[in-house]
Amino acid sequence: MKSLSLLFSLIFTGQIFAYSMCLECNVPPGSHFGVGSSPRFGNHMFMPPRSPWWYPYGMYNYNYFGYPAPFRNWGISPGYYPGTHGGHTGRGAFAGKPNMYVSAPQGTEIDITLNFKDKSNLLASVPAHGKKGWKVQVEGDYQLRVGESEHTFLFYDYGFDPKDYQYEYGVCTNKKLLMQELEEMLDQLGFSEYEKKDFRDYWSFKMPKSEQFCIYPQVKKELDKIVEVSFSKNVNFTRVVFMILPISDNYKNLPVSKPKKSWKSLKIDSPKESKINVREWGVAFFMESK
Amino acid sequence: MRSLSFLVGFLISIQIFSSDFHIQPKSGVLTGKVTLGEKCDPSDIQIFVSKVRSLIYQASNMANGSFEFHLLPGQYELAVISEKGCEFKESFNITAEKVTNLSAKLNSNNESTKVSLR
Repeated sequence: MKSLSLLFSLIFTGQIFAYSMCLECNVPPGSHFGVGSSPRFGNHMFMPPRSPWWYPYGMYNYNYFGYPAPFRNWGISPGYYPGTHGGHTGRGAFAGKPNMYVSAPQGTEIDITLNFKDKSNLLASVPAHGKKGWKVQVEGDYQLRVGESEHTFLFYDYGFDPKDYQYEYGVCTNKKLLMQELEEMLDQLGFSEYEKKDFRDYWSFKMPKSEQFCIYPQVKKELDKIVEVSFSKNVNFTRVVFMILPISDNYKNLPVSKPKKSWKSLKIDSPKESKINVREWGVAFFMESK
Repeated sequence: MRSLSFLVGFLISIQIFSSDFHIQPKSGVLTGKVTLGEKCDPSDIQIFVSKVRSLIYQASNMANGSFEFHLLPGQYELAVISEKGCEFKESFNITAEKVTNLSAKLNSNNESTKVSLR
């Protein structure tokens, strides 16, 4: 009887529908299913008056790997995105959500421009990047004014040819340790607690379903070959993108080999002296072969 | 003659606006800005771009924040939702080599929409 009343209360609040339709989504049960799954959204029960069609799949944080996102198996379906992206394995790749954080004395103004190299191209940006890039004014900690809006970070997505990535250093781990490994890398690279929390909040819900993963961290040396970031002032720039490969079939038929060396021995440039610090984290996945 | 000069002017305007963005061959750009209606708080805002039954992009934004999405030609839907329940939904068309501008004004009842192709 108690469970029946619970069922009715779930039906009336719309939760049961959201939950029952969320078979493929990677959203944990409890407070994080259906809607408002990002911890940024305090009210997890929030539902707009007219819901978008995908709301049963996680309103604010639907899983990347599975319907309704165009991501399948190892990676992203390339047919939805502009650009050729090449690919030494017959696949291109997609860098999702590099977040760029700028910390500097209040009032600092700086122009930031993304320069995409051959076979790489911008897919999305907030605020809009355009050809001229971002004109940023630092108003405080995690307060960046760009035009008429204020942001905590600059965001962009891009497609690229992953041949310039390194696949020698990294780690293969299970799903329980995946986020821990990634955060440890961010910690070693000097990302702040705020930035690590952003990473955790976002990516812990976006990872594909898999028991095993290989992580290949890419730092400035590799990333500059794909998209170079230019600044109007001297900055200390730290950047990392984690190429993540969900493992199936017991490590057979992988697009790249398993990492041979621990990521801890990866050489990282020493920080330069500057009052302006820019840090960027992101995650990349292979695209499916065309 | 008048229509010809209009056509020339139109083509020039496309070129000028398109030059604001690096556009990949056989693709177009959706750009615009998120603004808030009267009853909408400047809470965290999520933008979704979908095509038929596939979600192509998701990004968070702030009040008065601009956005840029590169897309293949076709029909899409832009949905912008705020934490407090305001929303904006609009279908739009992407044409190769062109920039589509869409002002996304969030409202509790989605009253105001404005779409223009540049």
